[in-house]
Amino acid sequence: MRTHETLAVRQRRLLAAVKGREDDAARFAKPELALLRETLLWWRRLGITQSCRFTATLLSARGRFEAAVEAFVRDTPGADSIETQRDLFLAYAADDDDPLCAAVAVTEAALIERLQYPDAPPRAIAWPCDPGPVLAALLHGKGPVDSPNHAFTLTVGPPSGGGLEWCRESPRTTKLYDRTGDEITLDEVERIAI
Amino acid sequence: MSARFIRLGATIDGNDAALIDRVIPLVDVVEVTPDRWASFPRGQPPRIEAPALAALSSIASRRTLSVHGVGLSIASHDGWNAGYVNLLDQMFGHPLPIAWHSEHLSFSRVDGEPLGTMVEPPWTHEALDMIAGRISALQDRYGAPFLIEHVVRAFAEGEDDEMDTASFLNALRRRTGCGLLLDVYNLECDHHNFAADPMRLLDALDLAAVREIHVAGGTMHNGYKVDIHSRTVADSTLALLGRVLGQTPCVNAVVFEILKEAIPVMGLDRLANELLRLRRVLDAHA
Repeated sequence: MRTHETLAVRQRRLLAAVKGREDDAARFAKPELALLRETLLWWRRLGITQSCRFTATLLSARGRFEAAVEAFVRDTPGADSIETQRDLFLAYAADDDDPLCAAVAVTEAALIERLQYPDAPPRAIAWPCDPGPVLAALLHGKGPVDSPNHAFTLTVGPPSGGGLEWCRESPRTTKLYDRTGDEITLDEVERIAI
Repeated sequence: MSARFIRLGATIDGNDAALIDRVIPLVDVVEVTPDRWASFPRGQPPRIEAPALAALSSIASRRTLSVHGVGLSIASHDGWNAGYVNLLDQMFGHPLPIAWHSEHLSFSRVDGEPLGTMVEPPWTHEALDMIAGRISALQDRYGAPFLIEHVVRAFAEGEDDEMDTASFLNALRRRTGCGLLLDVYNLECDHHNFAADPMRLLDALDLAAVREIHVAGGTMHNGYKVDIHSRTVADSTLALLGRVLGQTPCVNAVVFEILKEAIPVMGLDRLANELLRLRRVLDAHA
């Protein structure tokens, strides 16, 4: 006579298998597990595409979006809501090995924070290149063209205004900055990103 | 013998004035999912804000309001989702005149971690005892009729099961007095994905317990029919609905499920036309 697993054991093993944390696929019929996993990933991709538009667009342009979502599902507990999932995904992408992806994720998180909490303190974010062309491309749903590497600091919600501004560190000094732009307003970001 | 009246319903997921104004004149029942009306402020439990509660009150003043949960996770081994129950507490306590509420017979969390989708429990006596206890607790807590809905199967019935789907649902009904919510699109998915014969289930199910029926349209993915409420209702689903309506004498409402994210693609005009089409089907079975 077959001994049934308890609900607890079965559910824990299923969770691990569906999230790709252990090779337990043999325990569950493979086509069925594949469907379950694909359903889970489909919902995650949909939610992240809609709630993390800049980061998702950049990852897609680099051919890494699906792999990034799979890794996110495997490595994090996930969330019950789109909003919490969005925050978790952006925090996860902020540790991306690609410094531009990391910068975009941190910037997107700061923009969302600023839109939700107008009194949030300004956030200064290190960028590996000029944020202007990158953000302009992402605002239009396109992947950015390559731009020369150069250290920039982008500030979200500077006290002087409601938008963004970014500065390039001058090669001639270490303390002075060459202000390059604040062409993108929070209104534009809100229209696209939220 | 008087003709029966079957209410037509639709889901409205979220406080969208254009959607509400377009749908309400076309339906008798509005079905809402608490999670879709809730806010999720950082670091705080989810809650339904005052404007959303006001909109729900306004809907309830014009149409029958039912609540359909996706977040309870009634079959989790370690307990239901307390955050979701808090939302229900808020809605029932507002108070909103909720005619009935329902939930999926599934788990979507394990040890507090979201699974990301809904999965049916194995049909075992352990699961039956646990879920029956929780249904009774829900009925005691809110004093409103409660319906349980079968989900699209993730796994074929098999050696993990101690009974079949109909026996499990009938036992829940007998033990708790809850009603059943039958989803004909889910039956179609199970038929396509696992060759589960919907007629076999219907023949064995206590159909007098069915109070509500869901219809929806989904899509195919890698050869599987998936439960994503993104399309209008297929003719095959309507044909199955017709057969089911002929066997469910106590059904109160047929509700068209549509995903919020699909509405911009479908468009409000097409949604309205779909509700008019469904109304004609129900009228034909009155």
